[in-house]
Amino acid sequence: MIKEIGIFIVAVILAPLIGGFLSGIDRKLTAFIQGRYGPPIWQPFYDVIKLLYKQRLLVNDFQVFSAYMYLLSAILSVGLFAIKGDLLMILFIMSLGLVFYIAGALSTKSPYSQVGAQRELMQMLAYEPMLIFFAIAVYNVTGSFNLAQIMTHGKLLLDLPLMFILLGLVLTIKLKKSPFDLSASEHAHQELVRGILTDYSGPYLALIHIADWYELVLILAMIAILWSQNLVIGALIALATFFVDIVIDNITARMTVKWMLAFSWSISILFTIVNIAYIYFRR
Amino acid sequence: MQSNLLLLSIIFPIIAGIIVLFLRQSSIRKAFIATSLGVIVLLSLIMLATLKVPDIFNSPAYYNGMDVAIKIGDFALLLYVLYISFKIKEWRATFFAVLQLVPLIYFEFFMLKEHEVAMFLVDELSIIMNLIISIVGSLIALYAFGYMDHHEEEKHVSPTRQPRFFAIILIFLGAMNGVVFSNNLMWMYFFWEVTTLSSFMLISHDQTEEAIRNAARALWINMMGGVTLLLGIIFIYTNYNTISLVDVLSIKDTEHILLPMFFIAFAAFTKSAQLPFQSWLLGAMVAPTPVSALLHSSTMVKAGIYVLLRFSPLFRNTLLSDFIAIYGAFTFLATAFLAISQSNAKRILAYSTVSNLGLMIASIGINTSSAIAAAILLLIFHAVSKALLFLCVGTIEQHIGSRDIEDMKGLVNRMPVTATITFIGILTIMAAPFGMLVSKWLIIEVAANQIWISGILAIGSALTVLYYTRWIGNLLSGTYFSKRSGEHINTAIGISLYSLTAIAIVLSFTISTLYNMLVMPQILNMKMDVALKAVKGYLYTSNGGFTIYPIFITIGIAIVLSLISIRKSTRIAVKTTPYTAGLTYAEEDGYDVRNYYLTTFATEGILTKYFNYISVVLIAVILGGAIL
Repeated sequence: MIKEIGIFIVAVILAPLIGGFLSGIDRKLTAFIQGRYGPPIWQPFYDVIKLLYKQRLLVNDFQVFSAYMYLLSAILSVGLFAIKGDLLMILFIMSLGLVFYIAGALSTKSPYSQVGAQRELMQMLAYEPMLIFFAIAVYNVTGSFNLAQIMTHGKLLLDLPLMFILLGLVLTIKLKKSPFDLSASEHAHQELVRGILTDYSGPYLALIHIADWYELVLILAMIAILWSQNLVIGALIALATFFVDIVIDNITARMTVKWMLAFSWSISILFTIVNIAYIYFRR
Repeated sequence: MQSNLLLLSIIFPIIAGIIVLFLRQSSIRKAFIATSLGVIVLLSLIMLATLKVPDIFNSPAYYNGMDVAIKIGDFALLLYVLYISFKIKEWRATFFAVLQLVPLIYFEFFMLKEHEVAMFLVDELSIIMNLIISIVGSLIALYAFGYMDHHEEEKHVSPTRQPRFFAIILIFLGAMNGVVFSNNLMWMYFFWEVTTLSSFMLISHDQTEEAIRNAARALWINMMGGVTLLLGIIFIYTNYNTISLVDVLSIKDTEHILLPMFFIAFAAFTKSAQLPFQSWLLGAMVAPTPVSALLHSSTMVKAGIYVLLRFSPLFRNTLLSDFIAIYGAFTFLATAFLAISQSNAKRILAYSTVSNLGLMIASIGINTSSAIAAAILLLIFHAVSKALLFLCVGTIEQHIGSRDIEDMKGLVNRMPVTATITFIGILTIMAAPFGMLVSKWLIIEVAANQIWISGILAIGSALTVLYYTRWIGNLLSGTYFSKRSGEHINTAIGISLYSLTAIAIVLSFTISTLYNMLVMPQILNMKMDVALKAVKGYLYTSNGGFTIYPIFITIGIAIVLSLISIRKSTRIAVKTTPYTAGLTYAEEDGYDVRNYYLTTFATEGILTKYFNYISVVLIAVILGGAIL
C-alpha cells in the first residue's frame, strides 16, 4: 500500500515534467519542419509559469470548477495507471474530466468558445470508442483489464498491430493535431482565437495545459505497455509514434467534423474487428 | 403475518386509490394521499427488515378470495379495454383484447385444473423492485401534489381531475407490487394488464386529441405484449402442468421452455418499449411529467426487465439468450443515436430510457453472474436518477414554458436550485464514480469477449456522454453580468427533488453495501457463482476492478480548490465578458450558438424506419433461437 502511494506520487510529479518537455520538443521540431528557429525547449514551462501568475479573468464561477476537475481527473487517471489499476476505469475517469472541460467552455457565452466546445464533443465522440475498443482488444489477448496482469504479456504489439495504429490516431485527435485540430489548434501561434480554450485564461488556462500534459503522458504510456517486456523499448515506440504524429500534423490540413467522424469510426471499427480476428487466428 | 404484509402492500394502495376517488376536497385528499404514501414506504421498509428471503409466503385464508377476485378482474379488465377501444376507435386494441379474451376463456374454463399454489414468491429481486416502487414511486407522487395544481391552473381544468389522477397512481403502485410479488403466473398476468390500463388512463389524462391518440398507441402495443405473456403462460402450463412461478423456476428439463420464454421476452420488450415498440414510450411523453417519471422511466417499464431477470436462469447458456443480448445491445446503440438528434428534453430522456433498458436487456442476455449483477445495479440506479431528471424537466417546463434544451441556456441564473439539481442528476446518470457508470463499466467488462456486443456498448456510451454533456453546458451557461433571480420552490416539489438527489448520491456512495446486501444474494438465489465482489467501494472481478472513493475524493478536492479560488478571485479577479472578437457584448440577446445535432448523420424519421426494420429482423432471429 505504501509502495503504491509512493509510485502514485512519483508518477503524478514526473508526468507533467515529461509532458511539458515533450511539448517543447514538439514545438522545436514543428518549427524545424516549417523552416523556423522555434522557441527554447523549455518554453512550455515558461508559458505555464507565466500564465499561473497572470491576472485572473473570469466569465463565470463554473469555469474554475471545470478547470480543476479536468486537471484532477487527469492526475488521478495517470496515478491509477502508474499503480496498475483497471484500464477501462482509467478511461472513464479521463472522460469525466473531459466532460467538465467541455461543459466549462460551453458555459461561457462566447460563440468562439461554444463552437470549439461542440467540436471538442465531436472529437471525443471520435476517439472515446477507439480507446474502449483498445481496452476490449487488450482483454481479448490477455484475459484481463488489470494493467498488472496485462503487463505480464511482454509483446502485446505483435498481437495488436492495428490497435497500436488506432492509439496513434487517438493521440493525434486527443492532442488536437492536424487533420483533427477542429476544436482548437494545438499550437498557440497558429490561431488568434483558440476555439474551446477561448475563455479559459490566466491561471486556469495553465491548469488546462498541465492537464493536457498528463493526458499526453497517459496515452503514450498506453502505447508503451504494448511492449511491457522492456519498458524502455516500449517508451521508444511511444516516442516514435509521437514523432510520426508531429510529422502528420505538419503535412496535413484541418478537415471537417463530418469527415473526422466518418473516418475515425470506420477505421476504428474495421481495425478492431480485423485485429481481433487476427488474435484468434494466431492462437 | 408476513404474507399478510405482502398482501397488504398490494391491496392497501388499491383501496387507498379507490377512496381517493371520493375525496373532493383538496386538503383532505392531499393529507390522505400523503398518509397513504407514508404507509406504503413504511410497509416496504418493514418488509425489507423482517422478511426472510428467498421464500414463498402463503395466507390460505385469503387465497380463494384473491384468486376469484383476480379471475373476475381479468375479464372485467379486458371487457373494459374493449369498451375503451370502441370508444376511441382503436381497432388494434380491440383486436388484441379479443386475442387475449379467447385464449383466456379457453384456458380458465377448459384447461386449467385448479389447485392451490403459493401466493407470493419473494426474493431479493422482488424486494429491490418493491423498494423502488414504494420509495421512488411515493416521492414522485408527492411531487405531483405541487405539479398537478400548477398543471390544472395552466390548462384551466375545472372541476379538478386530480382525484382520478391520484387514484390511478395509487392503484398502479399496488399493481406493480402485485407483479413483483405474485407466485401464481395468472396473478402476475392480471397485475401486468392493470399496469397497461393505468398507463393508458394516465397518458390520456389531459383528454386532448394528441393525448388520446398516443394513449391508444400505448394501449394496443402493450395489449399485444399481454397476448404474448398469456400465450407464454399457457405454453408453460401445457408443457409443464404448472402456473406456479417457483415450480417453473425449478424446472430441470428445459427442452420445451424456450418457446414460452420467447413469448414472455416479447412481452417484456413491449413493456420496456424496446425497438420497434419505442414509439409508444415517446408518445407517452404528452402525459403530465410525474407520469413520465413514474410509469415511463422508473417503474412500469422496469416490469419488463423484472420479468426477464426473473426467468433468465431458464434460458441461461442458450442461443435465445445470446440473441437477446445482441438485440438489447442494438436497441441501446440505436436509441442513443436517435437521442443525439433531439433537442426536446423529454424526448432525450425517453430515448435515453429506452437505451438504458436495452443495455439492461443486453446484460441479461449475456446471462453470466456478473452480467446479471450489472443489470440489477443498473435497474436500481437508473430508476432513481431518471425519475429525478424527469421531475427536474417537469419543474423547468412549468417555469420557463419550454422543454427544449436550447431554451435552457443560462437556466442556472433563473432557476439556480433546479438547474443545479438537474446538473447533479445528469452527472449521476453518465459520469464516474456514480452507480450508473459503474454498472456500465461492469457490463462492458463482462461483454468483452463478445466483440460485437462490447463494441456496440463502446459506441453507445460515447453517444450518451455527448447528449448529456451539451445539456450540462446549456444549463450552466452564464456570466457574472447575467440577470439573476431567486427561485421559489413548492414544498412538495422541493422535498421530492432533494430526497431523490440525496438517494442518488448516497446509493452510489454505498454501492458496495448495496451490492452485498441485495444484489449478491440474488445472484446466489439464481444459483450462480458470485464473480463480482465488493469491499469498501471497490468492485472487482478476476478481470479488473473499479474503485469509487478516489474519484469522490477528487471531486471533493476540486470543489474545495475552486471554492478557495473563487473566494480569492472575488478580491483580485477581473470579472470579464465572454470573448467576442472586439464586438460589443450584449448580455441578453447576444449570440445563439445551437448545439450540434448531427442531423446530417441522424435524421430521426429515416433512422427510426431502418432501425425498426433491423429490430424486427433481430426479434425474428430471437424466435429462431427459441425454436432451434
